[in-house]
Amino acid sequence: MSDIILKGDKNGFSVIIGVNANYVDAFKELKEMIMQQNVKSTNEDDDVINFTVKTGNRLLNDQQKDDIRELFEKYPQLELKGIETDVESKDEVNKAMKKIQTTVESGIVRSGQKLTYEGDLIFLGTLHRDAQICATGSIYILGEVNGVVQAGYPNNTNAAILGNLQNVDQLRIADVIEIVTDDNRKDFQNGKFAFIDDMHSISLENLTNYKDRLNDLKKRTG
Amino acid sequence: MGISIVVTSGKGGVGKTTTTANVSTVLASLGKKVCMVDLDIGLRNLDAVMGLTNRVVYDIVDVAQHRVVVSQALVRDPRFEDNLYLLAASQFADKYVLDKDSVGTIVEELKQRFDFVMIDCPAGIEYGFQNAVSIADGALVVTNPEVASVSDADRVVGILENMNMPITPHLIINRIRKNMINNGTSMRIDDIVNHLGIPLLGIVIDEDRVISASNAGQTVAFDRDSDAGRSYQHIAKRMLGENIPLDLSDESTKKVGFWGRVFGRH
Repeated sequence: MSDIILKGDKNGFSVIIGVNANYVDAFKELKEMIMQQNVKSTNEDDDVINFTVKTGNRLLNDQQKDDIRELFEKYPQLELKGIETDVESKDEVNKAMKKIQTTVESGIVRSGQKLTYEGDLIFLGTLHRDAQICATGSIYILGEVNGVVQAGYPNNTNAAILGNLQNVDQLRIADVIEIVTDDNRKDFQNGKFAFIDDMHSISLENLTNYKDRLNDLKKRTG
Repeated sequence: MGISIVVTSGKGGVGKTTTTANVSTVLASLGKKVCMVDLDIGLRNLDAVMGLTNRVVYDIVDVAQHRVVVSQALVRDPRFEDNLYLLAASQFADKYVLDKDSVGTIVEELKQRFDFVMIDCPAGIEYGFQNAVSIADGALVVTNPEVASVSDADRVVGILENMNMPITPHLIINRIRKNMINNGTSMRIDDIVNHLGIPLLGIVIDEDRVISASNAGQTVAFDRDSDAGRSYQHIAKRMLGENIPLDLSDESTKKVGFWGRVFGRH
């Protein structure tokens, strides 16, 4: 049984490394296969042939990936489109999980403290003045906030800050900062949410309209 | 080219921040361009006393570490048109992220733009204090009429004198208790001045209004009914070279007159 399978489709060729194959053998076979192909087509006017290496349930380490890239670089007629795998390393999975996780936080965040979170945050506690909470996703405030609330850190403009916005000093979403002063303080109440509007500035709406806002987002981002 | 003045005391709680805020606001109201710099890293207060906390986005540590330029970190006080700015301290960073060089560069840059750079110094005579005083052209030493405060001020004056600042340090005696002066139980003002041996710039009586004003994010200097406020007005004007005599009876030991006694007014 062969260690690699060559398949063609409209995007070019895929090299699939078999599930039960020994990697060293498979790499050797890939090398030989390419050498044979190259011998057959030496005409420089030929189109470049695209290749994708698919490793299935196997994760290649960086060295192995570099070996494959090096191999293809020797043949100008062959272009490696990518090395694809059906699985992710635990680290990558954990990172992805963290992005979508929701943390529940309670207690007091005091002056000079800054708490940062991956994903969304439900805040039940009290945020004192000169303190800061910061999340990569949205922040839902059920407690009291007097300090700085930062959502969508560092550049997620789809994030929002929802709930009890009364008494907040400063809202930040992605790279936009809204300072709450005596002039605009009346807009910041309980039952509101703040988001980045089409003008790339922070707008406030009633929580009841949040669903419409989410639908808008879906339309915009597809 | 402006001058930099550090407000310092050695002891904590004698009114450095209040003095910085009041003197700065009066100078700004008199048409001078003033920048307040809070160097109390980790325990910043000047922004709160000025009611500007909500406007702080970047701080001096962001500037020192080149994340932003100075002009981006300056917070304008909307009550004083274009005359008063604040460079806030960081509440999150450690004070050791600043050093004399970085603070010096920032203050030098501010001196190009402003007439007065008022530096609010942290309490103590340690690292933060050294950074603050090393780059200043002059100093306001704030003390209270009590032994512990005067003794700390004495230590500070000694350090300042060894630095040979271009402008000799001046003294502000703060939190003078009217009733204690009247019944003779307070330290005497001329004793304090003689003891410390530096020019007296002004005296400020202890008043509830000072605290209520800063609780509201304002400075007492613009409260027409406040003796302390008037003292701060005088201090700022003396800094600009005006010759205002120090009137003890008016500023601190207003004798309760007959009608005052009758109506219980002080």
